[in-house]
Amino acid sequence: MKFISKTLAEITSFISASIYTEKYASLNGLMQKIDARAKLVIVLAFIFLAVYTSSIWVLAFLFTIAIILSISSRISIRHYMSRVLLFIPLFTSIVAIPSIFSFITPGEGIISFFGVSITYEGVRAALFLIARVTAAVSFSILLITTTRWNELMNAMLFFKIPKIFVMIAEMSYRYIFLLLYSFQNMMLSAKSRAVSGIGATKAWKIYAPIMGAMFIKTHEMHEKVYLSMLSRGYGVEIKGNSRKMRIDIGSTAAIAAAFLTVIAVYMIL
Amino acid sequence: MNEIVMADNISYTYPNGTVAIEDISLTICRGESVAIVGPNGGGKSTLLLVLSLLLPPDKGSITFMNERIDRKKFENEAYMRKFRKRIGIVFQEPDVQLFSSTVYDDIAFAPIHFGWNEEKIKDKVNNVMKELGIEHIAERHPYELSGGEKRLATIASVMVYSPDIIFLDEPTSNLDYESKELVIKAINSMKEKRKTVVVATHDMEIIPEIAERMIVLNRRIIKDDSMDNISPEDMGAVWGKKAIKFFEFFMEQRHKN
Amino acid sequence: MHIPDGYLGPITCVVMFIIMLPVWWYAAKWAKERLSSRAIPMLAMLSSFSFVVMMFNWPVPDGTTAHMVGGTLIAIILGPWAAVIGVSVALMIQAFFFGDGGITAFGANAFNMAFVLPFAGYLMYRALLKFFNSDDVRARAIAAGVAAYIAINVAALAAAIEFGVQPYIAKGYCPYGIEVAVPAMLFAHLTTAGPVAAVVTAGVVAYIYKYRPDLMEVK
Repeated sequence: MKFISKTLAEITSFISASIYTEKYASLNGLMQKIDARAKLVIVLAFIFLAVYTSSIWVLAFLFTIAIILSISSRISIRHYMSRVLLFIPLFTSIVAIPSIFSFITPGEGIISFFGVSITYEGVRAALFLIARVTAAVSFSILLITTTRWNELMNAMLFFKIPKIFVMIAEMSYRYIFLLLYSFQNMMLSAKSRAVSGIGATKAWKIYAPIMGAMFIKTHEMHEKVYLSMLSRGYGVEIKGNSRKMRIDIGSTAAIAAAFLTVIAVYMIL
Repeated sequence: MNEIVMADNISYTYPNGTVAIEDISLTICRGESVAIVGPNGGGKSTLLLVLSLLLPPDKGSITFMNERIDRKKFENEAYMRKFRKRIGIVFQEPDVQLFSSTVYDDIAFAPIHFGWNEEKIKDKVNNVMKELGIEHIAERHPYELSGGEKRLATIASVMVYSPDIIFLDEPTSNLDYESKELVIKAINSMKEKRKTVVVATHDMEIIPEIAERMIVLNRRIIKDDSMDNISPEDMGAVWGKKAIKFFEFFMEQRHKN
Repeated sequence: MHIPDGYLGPITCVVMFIIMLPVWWYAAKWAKERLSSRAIPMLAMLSSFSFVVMMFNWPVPDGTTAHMVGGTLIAIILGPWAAVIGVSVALMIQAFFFGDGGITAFGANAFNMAFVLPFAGYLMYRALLKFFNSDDVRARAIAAGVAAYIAINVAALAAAIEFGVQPYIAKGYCPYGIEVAVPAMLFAHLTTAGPVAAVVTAGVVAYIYKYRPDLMEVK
């Protein structure tokens, strides 16, 4: 159960990081100037290249581009790197550990003990996987750090994602923060009742009702949200944001530059 | 006639069996400013929801602008929408009312759903933000706001469509003095526009500043009278002896003004 | 069981998107016609609930991650098509915000957690209620718990197969073959995420059925 409180602390720090995100999204940097729709296309192109390539140099190059773009978008490098590296590449590394051994990836041994050896091919494959994941994540973090959530949602509507998905995304995004904080308070109250150092079954007897209570909280909030929407004329569907977006020359140029880079990298390396 | 909403012997029981309000009869007239006070769990929030036509009462009936709203009408949301434009409610928790990505979008929520055109929406939203002095937070995410800013944003999201009657549930809870003053100013500016204002609160110090009439509620109506006829002892009956002195002090302040 | 970018080869990614497109299309159509307006904020809430419970994940060596999803819960309360929407949205937010679950693997992740899981859970729940021949609180709670347990393991199996076939069809992606990936994923979900999902789902369903049966859109 120690694990839960630790994960919770990590999650909450990530959440506050995503609040800073809106801070970075309003800065006057390179990526912030590009239209959200164009940015989505650009970032997807880079991610596809990262997933498609079989060259470690391409991955290194992509990661470098992501870092350069984040710097020119005035994102603090420390903030950016911690968001990119702390979570996904770390988990991927743990997941990839078994693949360095000879029983998963046979090959030329580097060190061997108890009849098992770490192979050169295995280490290479694991590092490649981690590099690929890191390169891809660096672009999705770049997108979300430089784009406001509602702009991203409008971009999704533009690309014909059904309205119900966008509507639910818009609303649930808003409630994630609230839920997490109420959840954290509940965990604290459980902690204050000294539940550390007890068996898993017993811990679950305490944590399951906490989860239940968290759900109740969710539900109570939902009822009030519904009434508050009803009182302000909400009918069968939520009407979207009426402000329109125009695609400008700069964004078009950015798309062109990104595609040229992707194609050139693919051809050369 | 002059009355805007009338409750005739209404009761509401929650699905889990808790009785929230019982046998309530009251009339609120145009331009009145009413404070509903009472202990926690005394049914203030429920009464506001019932009077603002969001919860149908189990027993009794509500008459809004001389039209009796029966259960069948309550369930017909398309029919109810003509009343929605006339009624505003500011919830106790700002978070249930601010769910868009920016404050601007939250304030524009009602106008968009009442089908106004784009120009008018922009105009009204900007006006109300200016009036409440919150233009600088228009593009901010509601999550980043302070308690006071959140509260003003929810008030703006209701004032923007200029309803005839506005219900506010604990509008000053968890606010610092500065924010409290701004909320009181907003309520008084509604009154100046001859809106009917109904405030549920247990913040006694604001009552003399905003209300002319007071309803003391503890599941049933204990007292319903003009502020001038409310004695400190009435307050004491609800909150105990300490409240008597406290209330005496604030009434004195009121008379001085 | 979020599959990251770089775990699945390009062909698998594309195929999974193609499978999901009609599912998403039908879910949107279903919501437009059948989802009551009262249920829309409820679905948004359940979607954020799913997001939060999915954040409690732990890495599975030889696999991906283990965690509960909440898909069975949404399917029992609002119906499986609503769960398709709710879980897809939660996955999308995670992919963008945390890079948890890749953007190119989004089709596959949605297939496992937003399609296979809620439908498996929902069908199991219905079948169990029929088998118990009762729909009192206890029967519902047990059925919900068992359904959630089975559904998450079915979904984990689907995920394990998807990346377990990679060594045979796309070199340089997931290094673990089916014979390694399937036992690893199933072991993690049978012993950890499965029981968590069962307890939480049973508890919440029992609570709702006891205190607010009116909230169940699916009677």
